[in-house]
Amino acid sequence: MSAYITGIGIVSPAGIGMDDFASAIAVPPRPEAGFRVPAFGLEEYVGNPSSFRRVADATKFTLAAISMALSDAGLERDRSRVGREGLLVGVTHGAIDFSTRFHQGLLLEGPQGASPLHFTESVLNAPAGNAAIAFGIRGPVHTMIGEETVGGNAIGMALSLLHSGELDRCIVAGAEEWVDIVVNAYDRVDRARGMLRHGSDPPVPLGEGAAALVLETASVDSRRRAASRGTIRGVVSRRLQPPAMSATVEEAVRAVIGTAACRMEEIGHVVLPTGRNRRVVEQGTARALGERAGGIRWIDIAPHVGNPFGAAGLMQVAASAARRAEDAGKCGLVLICGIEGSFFAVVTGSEGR
Amino acid sequence: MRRRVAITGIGIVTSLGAGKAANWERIIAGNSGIRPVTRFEAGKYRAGNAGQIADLPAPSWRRVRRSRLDFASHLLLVAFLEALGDTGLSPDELAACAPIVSLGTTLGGMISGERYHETYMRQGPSRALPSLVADHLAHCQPLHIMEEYSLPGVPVLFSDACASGANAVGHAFRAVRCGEVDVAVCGGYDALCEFVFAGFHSLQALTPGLCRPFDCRRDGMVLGEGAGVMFLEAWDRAGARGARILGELIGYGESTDAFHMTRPDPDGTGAISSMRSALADAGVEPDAVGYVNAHGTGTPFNDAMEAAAILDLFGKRGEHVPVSSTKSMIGHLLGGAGAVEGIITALAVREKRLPPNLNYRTPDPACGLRIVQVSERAPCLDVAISNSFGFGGSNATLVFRSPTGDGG
Repeated sequence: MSAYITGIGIVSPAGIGMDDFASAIAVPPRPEAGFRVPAFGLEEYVGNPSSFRRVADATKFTLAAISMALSDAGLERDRSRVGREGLLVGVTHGAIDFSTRFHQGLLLEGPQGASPLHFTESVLNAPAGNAAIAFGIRGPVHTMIGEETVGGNAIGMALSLLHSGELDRCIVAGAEEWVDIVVNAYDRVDRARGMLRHGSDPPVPLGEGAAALVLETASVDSRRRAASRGTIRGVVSRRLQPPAMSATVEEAVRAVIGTAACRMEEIGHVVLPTGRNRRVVEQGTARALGERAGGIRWIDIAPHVGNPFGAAGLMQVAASAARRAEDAGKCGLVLICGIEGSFFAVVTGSEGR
Repeated sequence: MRRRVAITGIGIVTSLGAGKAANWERIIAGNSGIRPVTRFEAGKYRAGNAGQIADLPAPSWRRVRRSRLDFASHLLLVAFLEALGDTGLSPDELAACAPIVSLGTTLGGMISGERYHETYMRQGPSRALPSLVADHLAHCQPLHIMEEYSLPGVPVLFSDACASGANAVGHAFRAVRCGEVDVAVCGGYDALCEFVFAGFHSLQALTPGLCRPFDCRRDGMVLGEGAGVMFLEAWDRAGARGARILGELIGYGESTDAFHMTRPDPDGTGAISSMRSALADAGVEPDAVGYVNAHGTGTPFNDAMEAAAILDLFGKRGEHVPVSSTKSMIGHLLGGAGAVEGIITALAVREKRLPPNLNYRTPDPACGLRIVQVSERAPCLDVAISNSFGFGGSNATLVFRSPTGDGG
């Protein structure tokens, strides 16, 4: 199963928009930049920004990323689009800022202090629901919950929906927002799990942002004569469990390359995970690639965007797509790994007009 | 490839009890599982009742440390164990099937999230237990089940508000039907917590009285909690291994209102589209449907919209199709609703009996449906649908057929 990527939208600490993102990750990171998205407004991304002026950051990032992806795909964002269209949004924590504000109001002032606005935006499907309203998406709209790998879940489900004929086009998005309590929580979890000990695989700090891809099947893509940002050629998922984590990665990499009808020597670049277990993923992949591993470009977006959890996998795919010109005729290998051991390997291609 | 999909396992826990036998018996008897909330101080709210589970049988965890788990994980395991027992599969046999695990929830382990945040706020970050973080995250409850039973792969977890459970079942159904997997574990769950209770209170969606779906005096919903799990299996495979087939899932439809985050589209366009696409997916005409298990929240907006959508779907026959809402007895299970109500629908088709809609006293002329007030025998019932409509405009419909049906 494969699909064309006909549009990409990015909201990241490294830049807003695919061009800024691609330029930023091509050079060494600026340590002072941090992992927060610069302030921006929704005016240029949605037709009725006043309707979304009170949304949580996770929703705001999602709306902007989807708007950019639709524009990039040559699709009108304010009118009904042709064909059956769906939206899958991957989220890990959701709008924690609004959730904690709602709960704080409840704890400090009782029920009268709990704002319905905060509650409505704290539900995990708020980004997807708002995006469906903003862009008039009336087909399947789902919020998928998971670790950093949830973007892989969304891509896999999108491919199924496209190839079963349920949809002509599927927008996949992922979003995350930076909140103190989440930073603190992972610091405590990492300490409890011994991840901050000397010599361990150090976790990447929390990032934020959103990424969106417009995926279409070859037939729809050619019918529309859309420009292509590349392809998704295959997806494989596994659970990594000690002590065989690295071996499982090695097997999964071989499997996805087979699924994508690709050869090891066609791999032009590898995009590393932003989540936990980065070292075992790198080791297992290097073993799968064998001697070729040294000649391949290894891309790490974590120093640029941190670990944007729900948005991680799709930002990684965007980073792979950004290499399309340099790796023409080759494939990319995107490795997405989560804190609880979920793992996705995605093969991207440079095909398309 | 389009394979028939058998239901070979059903597990359910609600405020009416644990197990499908207990739930079915009490539902048919018209019992209510709605009671005063005791999990948190509810006296400060306008509404004080919910479908809170009184006594949950302690599930036995073998690998995962029980004391560290959110109540939502326990609910899920209780339902999972009952469903697994139905299948006749041993845990090792199940793991060897490499089933897809597709579940739905709205807020996962929010009870743990509340505890973490309250301690964080009142006593400082260093006093908040890190284990509560993992219990709070919604994807951890399915992972606990998979870890406990050594199930391979990565779970698929939907959070589409009140349609989460139905969409999770629908996704699993498609995966089995198209041959992606032979066996699927699917369902939904949610635990009652003050965060959600206060949230619906703030939206003025909770009734201080009774949940009266489709009644003229309906004035809001009642929350509940619970879990529903189904095992779906390729029909031929289930038959070949001699599994007991409890029902057949034959169709799934979904749509989105794209109208408002919390209010349904009053035209019911999305709901009609969801029901139509589900029936088309099942290859059956509306005339074949003998019962509708409605989303029926008891709120003025939802029930009026759903009634209009049902009447539109069935045309002249609409006033005569039996309709009831299980929420009148167990409350609104949010992420668990679609799965639990799907199970009740499957049982209705299997038992040829219509579950009642409690508290329906004064018909609403604006609804105009044939509401089932007391349980009825339905010897000809072969096909039924279950509706789920959620925040964000998410609509889902599941279509069930009797296991003794002709299979069309």
